[in-house]
Amino acid sequence: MPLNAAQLAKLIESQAVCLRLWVRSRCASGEDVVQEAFCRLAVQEPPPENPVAWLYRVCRNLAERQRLGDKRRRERERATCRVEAVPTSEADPLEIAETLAAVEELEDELREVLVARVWGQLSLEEVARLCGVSTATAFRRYEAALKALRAKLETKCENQR
Amino acid sequence: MNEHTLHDPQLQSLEARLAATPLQLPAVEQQQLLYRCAWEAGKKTAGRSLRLWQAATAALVVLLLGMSIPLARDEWLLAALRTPLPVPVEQPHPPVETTPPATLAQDLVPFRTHHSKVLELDAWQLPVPKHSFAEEMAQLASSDPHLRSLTMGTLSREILNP
Repeated sequence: MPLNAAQLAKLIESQAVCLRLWVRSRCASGEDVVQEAFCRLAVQEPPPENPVAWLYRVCRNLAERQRLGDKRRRERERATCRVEAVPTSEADPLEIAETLAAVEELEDELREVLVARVWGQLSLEEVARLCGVSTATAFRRYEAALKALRAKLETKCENQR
Repeated sequence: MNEHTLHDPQLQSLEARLAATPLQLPAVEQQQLLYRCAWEAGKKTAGRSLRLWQAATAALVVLLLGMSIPLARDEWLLAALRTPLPVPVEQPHPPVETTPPATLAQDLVPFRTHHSKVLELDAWQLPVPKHSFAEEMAQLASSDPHLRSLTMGTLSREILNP
């Protein structure tokens, strides 16, 4: 039996934006890819053991397929495509916007690891498997992503003063 | 000690801060996405039942064809058996010969004889014996005396009271 609506809604709420960030470097129309992945998850029978890891993997595969099929479109839309997220009641909207902007500026391979680890809450082994690298490489990228993000956020804070 | 652990407290703090930052789609987009997923799930379920019905229909069609072909073949055989006898077509008479020879005419036109058939309308009645009067009298004389007296009585009444 596939996932029920409540489980699906919870996954959409927690992972949709992260998945868009995850596939952003690989394809232009991340929204379509994420939607397709969620639709596939809705009809997946039996549901995967770890739906989050499954979503990340499917999104990456779909994005790769789309990237190969439509390279020119990707270049055109990448310039205008921005991932949007709405602040929740307990979060500062400015802080979220800054964080998102800083994450989007990261290199693709760093951003992938960071998003999957922090918001996807996947283990380093799972992230490494998804990215096709060793666990040590994944950890190195994760550490580098955090350092780069800290540097960017500090720079933005200094500029705002 | 795990080798894949952050040792820098600042990075740990940043990691915790990032994890606590929820990234969510706007509610409208979430609803649209959920609706799309539900639509896909419904389509898959409907497609499954549709395929089931299609398979059942196809099986019935095959069964129907399989049964109707032998029946049609039998019907053709019966129709061939029921072919009407050839009706003689009236040939136009040649203008020259007005009276063909009798033997030739008999050969060309089938001669039909009308046989009169005896219908026994009173089949329930006993057949009337066709004996002579003397034989009947002899039979009467040799019959049972009681029966003979009855017969004579009846004949007398018929003669006297016609």
